[in-house]
Amino acid sequence: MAEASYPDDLRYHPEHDWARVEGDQATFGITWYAQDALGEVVFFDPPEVGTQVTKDGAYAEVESVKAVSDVFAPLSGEVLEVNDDLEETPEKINKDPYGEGWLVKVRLSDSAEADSLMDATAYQDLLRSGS
Amino acid sequence: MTEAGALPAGLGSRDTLRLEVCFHLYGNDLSEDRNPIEAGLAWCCKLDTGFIGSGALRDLEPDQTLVPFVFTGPGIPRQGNPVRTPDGEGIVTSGTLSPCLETGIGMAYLPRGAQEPGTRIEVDVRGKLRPAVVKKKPLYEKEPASG
Repeated sequence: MAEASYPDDLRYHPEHDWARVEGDQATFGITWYAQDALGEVVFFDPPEVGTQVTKDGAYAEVESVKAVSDVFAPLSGEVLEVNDDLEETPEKINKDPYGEGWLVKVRLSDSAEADSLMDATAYQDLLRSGS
Repeated sequence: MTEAGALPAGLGSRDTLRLEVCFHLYGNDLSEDRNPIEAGLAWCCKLDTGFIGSGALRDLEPDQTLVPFVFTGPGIPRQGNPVRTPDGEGIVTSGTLSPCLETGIGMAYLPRGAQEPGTRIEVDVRGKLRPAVVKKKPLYEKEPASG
């Protein structure tokens, strides 16, 4: 499992999700902290392409051997693409949570929402404060 | 030990191992609400010895019994998931992803008629119906040692 890291180019949601915003689209995933807390991910249950996701709402599930966790949308929009590789190799979420372990790509309905998310420094402060 | 290459393993690995061979876990598959005949433990109940409770078990034909099943598609069954069968509803008492079989496996109390190996069932995993098939115990059999 990779070392803890929180890339500076991402925006962070307090439920331990990240968004990589590029214009009116964004890629979503879960943070290093989230995958470490879950343990080995053995199943990813994705939304269907075309689904509308709402900021702060659950849109998918990740499941470890012991537990199931909802994944929360850091931003609102329409699912354009799902990371199909995770069906066969969900452990990519552990190995590379910001790269090959991305979950979905979304067309944002309101890119201004990103302003309410945290940067890497603020997110790490949140982790240190113990939530 | 870990420096010498050992890996930590605990309840999670014990649970997948016991479920692959269909060993019951008290609190999941066995409880005060289920009698030993339903639970498939008739072989432990020698009625002729007249043990306390033997009268209550005599001639008992339970409506449900505990059987193992395997998912034929994606998903992982979990304790408490409802089961749909051609013969009525059932309930999952244990479920996990089997590392050896690489699919979702579990045990469920199913109505009479749906207990035959090969019966197609559906498990309601948090609102999604996942196809599964009833199997014989154990779900995993060790390959005979060679040589």
